[in-house]
Amino acid sequence: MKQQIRTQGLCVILFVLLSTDLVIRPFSQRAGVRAQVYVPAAFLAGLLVLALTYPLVRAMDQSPVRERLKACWTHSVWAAPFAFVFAFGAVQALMRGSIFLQYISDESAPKWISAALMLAIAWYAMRCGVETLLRVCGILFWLFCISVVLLLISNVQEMRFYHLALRPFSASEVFSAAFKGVSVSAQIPLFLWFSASGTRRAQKGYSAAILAAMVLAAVFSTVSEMVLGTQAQMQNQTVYALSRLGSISVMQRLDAMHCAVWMMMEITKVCAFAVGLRSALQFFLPQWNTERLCAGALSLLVVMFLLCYGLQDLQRQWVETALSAAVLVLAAYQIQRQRRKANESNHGA
Amino acid sequence: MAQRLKESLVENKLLLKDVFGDAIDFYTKDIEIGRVSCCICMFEGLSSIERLWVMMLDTLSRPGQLIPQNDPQALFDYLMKHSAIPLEHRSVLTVEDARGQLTAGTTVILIDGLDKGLVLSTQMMQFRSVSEPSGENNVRGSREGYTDLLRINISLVRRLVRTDGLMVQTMIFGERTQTEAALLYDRNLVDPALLDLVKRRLSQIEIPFLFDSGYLSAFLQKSRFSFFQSVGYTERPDTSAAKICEGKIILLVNGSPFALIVPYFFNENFQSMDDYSEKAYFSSMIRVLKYAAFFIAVMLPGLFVSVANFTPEFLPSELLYKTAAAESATPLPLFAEAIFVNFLLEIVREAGLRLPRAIGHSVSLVAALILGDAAVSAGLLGTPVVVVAALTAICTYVVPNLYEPVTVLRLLFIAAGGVLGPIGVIALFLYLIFNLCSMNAFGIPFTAPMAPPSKAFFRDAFIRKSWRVLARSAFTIHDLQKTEVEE
Repeated sequence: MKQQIRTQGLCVILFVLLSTDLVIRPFSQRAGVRAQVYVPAAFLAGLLVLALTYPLVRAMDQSPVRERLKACWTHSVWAAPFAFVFAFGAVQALMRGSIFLQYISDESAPKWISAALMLAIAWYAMRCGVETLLRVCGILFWLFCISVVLLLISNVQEMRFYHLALRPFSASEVFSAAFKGVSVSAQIPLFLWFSASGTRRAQKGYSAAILAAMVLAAVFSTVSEMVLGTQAQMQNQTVYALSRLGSISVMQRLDAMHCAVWMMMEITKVCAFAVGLRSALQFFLPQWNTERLCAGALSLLVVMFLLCYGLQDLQRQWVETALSAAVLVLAAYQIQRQRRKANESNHGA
Repeated sequence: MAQRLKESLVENKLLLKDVFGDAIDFYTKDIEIGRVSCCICMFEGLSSIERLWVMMLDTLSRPGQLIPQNDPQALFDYLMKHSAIPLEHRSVLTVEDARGQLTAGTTVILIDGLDKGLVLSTQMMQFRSVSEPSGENNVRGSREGYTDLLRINISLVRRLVRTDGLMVQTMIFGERTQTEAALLYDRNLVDPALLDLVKRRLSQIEIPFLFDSGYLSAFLQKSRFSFFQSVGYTERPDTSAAKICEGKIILLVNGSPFALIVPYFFNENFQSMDDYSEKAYFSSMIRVLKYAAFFIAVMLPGLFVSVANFTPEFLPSELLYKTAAAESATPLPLFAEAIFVNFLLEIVREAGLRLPRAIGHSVSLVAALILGDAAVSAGLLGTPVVVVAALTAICTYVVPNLYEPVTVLRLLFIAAGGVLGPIGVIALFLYLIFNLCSMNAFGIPFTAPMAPPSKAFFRDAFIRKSWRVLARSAFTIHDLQKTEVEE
């Protein structure tokens, strides 16, 4: 089955996955800093990630480079690190989703049931393929936009400018917050992996996705402080707290709708990594058909889940950051190498 | 190998008798034309002797006809080429041909001394006349619906699409029924690759009999399971004509008043011909209403069960008290009640469909009084559940094309909500989105133009823009983004 992956769709996936991390935050981190510091820190962190990764995306803009990369990454040696980071990313999203579900529910299903459901959806997503994932993320993008708009509208009445803690701050505060907030998540290696099969240049869309995520982070931080005041920094899940407080007329429990959309985004994040994993596994086991590959990838996810079950959220985050950074370094090396080869062959021709 | 007709009239008559046996409706009459023995063969009920008389025999019996005498071949040539009799241009050469023509309602004239026969269109078979379609009713627009005869249906479309682009290609299906079917499309608008794909799939069909166009749907679609169909159907010639003008293909089957539409997309289930006769703002509102009705029909019972069982704090306090009071008075748990009421609705609907009209009204009486009123008064069923089920049923009928998937999905959502709670409903809803997005309708995403997004979504899919905007550029399926996922 031959597929072309729409680059625009990939950028939408990236935005949806990044936004998921904004609405369902790591349980190991509280907001910590006031909005006045958080906003510039968020932009700084985002710009740092952009500065490090934009050259890679730009280097992949040339079609010959993408073709060479695709051929290189299909080798099992190079596909292995990607497969590992995707598997870990899926498990991390799975666990965070399960914990979030328990956090928001008074009586929720046991963790293993919610994990099993998410894995079942991930298995189905693996069978459907990346094109389906693009379309699903397109729909979720619009649902998320509606959710954000309703979230803001429902909290308009509670927003107070005087809740904002505005006082002089130093650059070191911002740098410190930015440094703590930078996390290289597995979304970017996933984006690079699929970009190798992309239809066109990704630089504009990629930058737009990262910038949009930064703007969203700034908006959430500002609005939460305007509504909650200093209590916003104490919340475990700030955006969820906002959704609980917001109401429009008689609709008091809009958080149900918001949480449903966010949970779908979290499950889709699991699915995205699962699809990436299956795609990477294909090069280890080329003789296997789709059904067996999906079963194999699912088994790998279950094993990874059981291995990581005892880890704390912060530990999992460190591992994910380390793995993603390592894969990005590897990818950078490969991209530069293939770009050099492509330029050499162009000059030779 | 097909058996050729003989030159002897007697032998040909025996061959036909072998094929049809002693069928009382198989009529043969020996006559003489130009002193050559001939035999008229037809099926009574399919063909008309009066028409035969008017078209041929009367003409031949008038004085002044220069009919060749004692020469079968000359007689054949005269009748075919020099007489004014409207014979079919193709004569029958084999017994198989003769069988096909006779069962189509034509008259076959065998001539002694010739191994071929003449065919005359004397069809006069009884059929249901063109009337209003049983479903797909419109407030404005045409009131014509398809009949059961293929030729009539083709003519209904041809009256509406009068350009030279309209093509009609016939094919035969069914080893035991030899049912005729026709592909209609506009050769200037249709995608040649799509047409080839459809023809290829149709040519690979091996089916013992064909009585309805619906049998062919399964063969036209990809084998992977989905709740929805990428092949639509319609009873209306105007809808078929509109689809042809969009570059789609219509498949008509003899004996079926339903035409298949290939390819068919998800958003088309929410469109109707009325949308284009009314004001754009109203049509848009109705479309949005239909989408809302679809989601209510699918998800409301499951959501209600999930919320009432797992997250009752989401309900307003007054509704919560009433629901709790109603459920405490009934013997079954809420989940079982919801399943039970929905099954009852399906049973009542099925009974209403199959019952003779004379006693059909008693189904409504039983459903309304006994199920609706008495069961609630006796405390067997709770009022909230019955109200939810009734609202769901009404919403289902707003989008009748999706009745089957809505019914099954509704039960699945009830099960998911009742057993697993909110996460079950969310997971099933996400599975539904994945299922929809994974489908391709002959290479084009089934969810187009919604996903992948396209301007056409706000042009004529989710809402409808005014005719001034629509008329600027006519829509065809080429405007929808094609994927390269092979079918």
